[in-house]
Amino acid sequence: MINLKKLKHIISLRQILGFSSIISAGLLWYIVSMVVSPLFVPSPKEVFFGGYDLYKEILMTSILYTFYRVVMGFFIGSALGILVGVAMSWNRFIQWILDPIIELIRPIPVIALIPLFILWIGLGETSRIIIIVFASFVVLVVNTSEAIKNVPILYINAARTLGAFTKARIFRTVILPAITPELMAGIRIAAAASFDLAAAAEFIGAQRGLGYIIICAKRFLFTNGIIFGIFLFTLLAWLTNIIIRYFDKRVNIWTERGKA
Amino acid sequence: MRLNGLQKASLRIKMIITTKRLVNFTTIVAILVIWYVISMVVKPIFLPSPADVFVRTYTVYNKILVSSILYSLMRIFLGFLSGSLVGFVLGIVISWNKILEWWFDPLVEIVRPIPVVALIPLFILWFGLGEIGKVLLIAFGCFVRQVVITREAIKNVPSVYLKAAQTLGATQRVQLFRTIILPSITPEMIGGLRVTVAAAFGYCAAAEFLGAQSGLGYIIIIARRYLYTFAVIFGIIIFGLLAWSADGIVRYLDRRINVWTERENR
Repeated sequence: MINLKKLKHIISLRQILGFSSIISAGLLWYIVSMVVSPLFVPSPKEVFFGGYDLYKEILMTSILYTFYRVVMGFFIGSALGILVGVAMSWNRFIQWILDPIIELIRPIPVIALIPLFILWIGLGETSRIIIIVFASFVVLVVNTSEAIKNVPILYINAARTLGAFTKARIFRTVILPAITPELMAGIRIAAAASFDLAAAAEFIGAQRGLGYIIICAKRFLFTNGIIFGIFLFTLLAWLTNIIIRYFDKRVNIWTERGKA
Repeated sequence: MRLNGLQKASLRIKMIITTKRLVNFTTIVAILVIWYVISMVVKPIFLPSPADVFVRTYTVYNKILVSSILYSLMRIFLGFLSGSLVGFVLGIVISWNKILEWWFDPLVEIVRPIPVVALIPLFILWFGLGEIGKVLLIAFGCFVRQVVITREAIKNVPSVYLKAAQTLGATQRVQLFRTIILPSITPEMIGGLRVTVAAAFGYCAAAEFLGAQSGLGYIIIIARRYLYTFAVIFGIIIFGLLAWSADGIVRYLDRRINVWTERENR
């Protein structure tokens, strides 16, 4: 009896259900792959082992290239975006000048800009990174200025009452800490978008990277290679999200969300 | 204090032409002027003049221009509508009870990080270069987003509301969903729809770059091949305009449907 209770404690219904749903998805894939031609749905084994065999020589470099592009673009873009967003709320004139520019840029689907950037900058590494920089920048500028607008005026007034007279001090001690939880949402959106853009940019013209692997596999109708590439892309995006979530928890430990 | 007509008029003009609007306006004019000046210095392959973008694109692509815009719009509209609707329904179903939640959650977590654009080659292989593949791709992207947004929104419903409803006699699950959960998630849902619409345009562009015989993305990609920079820029501008209008429609719906909420910066 006690053992059963212990077992129940270790393996909850939730875990059983979650586990069985993943297993059944895998089984469904396997069964479909037996019925349909491997050109359309290769079996899990063909995808993971076949895909690995197909690319084992360039696998690591491809992953690293894609990751490098995403990380570089994402970091530079978000840093610039946060800086400009803060600058915009620092000074009204900066805001009045930049607002219409950002409103003009904001609705443009960044993917549509890829051909233009390639035309301007060429097929090299720079154009691919700049595309990702641009996308992260737009997301975070908007996110930062919205977040600063949402800071309760009460906090700022309280800080003033307590003796924070300079703008720099209010920004450093009140506004920047108050916006970090909201910034995290923007950072996660920007990271997810960066992977989409990396895929699109690598499809349209690259010699390396996971997107390049996928496009090559498509050319030779290696469906297992395509799915393997998508799997690796997903894995990278998932890992990035986990890293961001970890930092979110560390940085925002003082908020209610952080405690939960 | 009474004002005469002239004073009233000048006051009104001052209200319309604020410093803010003046600065905004000059920025936009300045962008156009800078664009024009640069286009005179640089080769038109890199930056054609604003007039060129519109006139030359029209002369080169006038036969397929309108149909391309309509094709892109149709794909986005169909994909967005079906995808977000199915996503919304599934989001509700998942939140219906704990068993469903525990069953579906891991699957959602697996699908969620997939970069949708990376799926395009697979969709082309499965569904060909026709309409179905593109619409399904956009639908899939919107679907995943909407499931997650709906789930989050339902999780954010304060449990006080639910308890209050139960105390007041709402015993059935259907009743709780219809009277409490659905109304209280609409503001968040529409906020999510804005993100989803914007993403749908991106997916459409990517899908049309990689294999299409029509659409704005197709125009951009063939124009790039011939180094017709003016048409590339034109396509981008139209994409931006369409996305902006779509966002405007969602925002209008937001104002109409969510009048009752108290949001500060509306």
